[in-house]
Amino acid sequence: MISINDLTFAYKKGEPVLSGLNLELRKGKIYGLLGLNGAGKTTLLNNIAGMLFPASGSCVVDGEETRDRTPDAMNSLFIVPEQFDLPKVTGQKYIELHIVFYPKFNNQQMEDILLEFEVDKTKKLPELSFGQRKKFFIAFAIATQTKLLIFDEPTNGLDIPSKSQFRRIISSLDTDSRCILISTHQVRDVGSMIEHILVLKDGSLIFNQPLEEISNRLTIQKIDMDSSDPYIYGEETLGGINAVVASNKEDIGEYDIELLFNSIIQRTEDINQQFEEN
Amino acid sequence: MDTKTINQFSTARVLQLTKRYVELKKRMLLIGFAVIISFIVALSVWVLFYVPDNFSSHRLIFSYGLLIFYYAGFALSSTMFDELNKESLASQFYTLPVKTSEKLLSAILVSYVGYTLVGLIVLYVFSIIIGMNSADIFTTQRLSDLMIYTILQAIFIFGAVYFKANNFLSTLVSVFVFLLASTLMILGLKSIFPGLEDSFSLGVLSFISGDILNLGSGILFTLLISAFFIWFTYLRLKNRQIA
Repeated sequence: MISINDLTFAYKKGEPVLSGLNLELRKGKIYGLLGLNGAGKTTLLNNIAGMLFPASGSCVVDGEETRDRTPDAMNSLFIVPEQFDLPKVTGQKYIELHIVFYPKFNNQQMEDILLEFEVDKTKKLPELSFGQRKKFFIAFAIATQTKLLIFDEPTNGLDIPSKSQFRRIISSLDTDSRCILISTHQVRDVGSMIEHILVLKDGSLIFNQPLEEISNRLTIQKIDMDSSDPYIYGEETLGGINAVVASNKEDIGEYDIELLFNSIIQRTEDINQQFEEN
Repeated sequence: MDTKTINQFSTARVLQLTKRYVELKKRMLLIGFAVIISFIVALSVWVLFYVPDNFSSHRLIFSYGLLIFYYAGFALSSTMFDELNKESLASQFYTLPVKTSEKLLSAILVSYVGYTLVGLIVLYVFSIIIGMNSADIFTTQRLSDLMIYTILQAIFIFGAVYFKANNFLSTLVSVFVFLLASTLMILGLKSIFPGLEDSFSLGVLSFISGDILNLGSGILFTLLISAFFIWFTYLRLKNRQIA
């Protein structure tokens, strides 16, 4: 559905922010794009959304390059940026003004999500708090029914109950015909929703694996401080070490996604090696 | 609807986008019109009080009214793509599922066609109120002014996309610098080659002074120059990026 081919991007004459990136995103999956600050996550999302143009390579959605910003390509995606503002109109007016551009817009879904988020659409959007505005925009994004939904740091600015509501709403979506790409450095906030992990570091995709495969290849174990058991990466905690260890059995349990992320960042080669071996 | 149909030019989208522009700029448009009308009314009171001759006072009021109307129009055109200059709003505008040509056409419909029609109607009604003869309104000079206004509107629309901040002032200064440079160049050439004097009589300077001798060529010139700037606006809008 989304095909990123040999994508390289640089701001003006600077060093490339993204270099030679290849990626395929498919329908029916929720992807987590993880990375440290400055890894190039937002730049990648802006390239996918057609707001930045690659220096070389391409981003293709359903056969159309997004840099052309054709109505069909733009109808296939919706992006909720980390920082955004909404026009000085009521929520209802915003919907009325934009609904025409999204032929599959689901009004009932919009109503339901706004109800769950407790956002009043009759109020003027600038009068709402940032968190409320974000919830309104997330609801609108979901209701557009676009094939690709992009969220950049979706939980930033949301209070704790709203983060849970967001997770619940995303998890309850019928994703068979949609692909959701969530970019974040706050991995704990969205860890439970993600089905496929992408890790970006210094403009390169250093990890790209579905959660099932990760479960087959890696396990998280708590081991004793003085244990001689081998592990790929570990973090000291009270009473032992939380460690990422190689595994050859299927173990779909709760994942400490933050630990997994840290292990990928710190031990990239060792982690990827686990996926190369049979 | 298949891909080809969606990607074709759509009048429905143009109209919806026009509605969107008007709705998002409603407050600005209303305040703008209120300011223009207040200014013209204040000016009228002042002129009628100090200029006893009816004919001169009417012409003075109408001329100043037109001048305010023109500049307000340029200011409006300069703001048509201000969403692009605000990073927090830009993503919604960039990713709106409409063609670049539809975005541009809708902007022109609001800032040039719509504004000019409403503005001219307001000015016409106003001229009737102050008792001006219609023969003094619809003159060749007005038509020539309107042509210059049309070209400048196209330049200000281009400035709205080209500059990333202070679009109105940046375009105004650019136009001023261009005119100044053209004038100096023409004057310089005239002083070096005195024989060129006549051939320049239909050049930039005479055009700006409204001295268009041939209506047909004037209209053609206006259309060509406007189309030139609109085309560059289109290219700039199509290739503009968020950073």
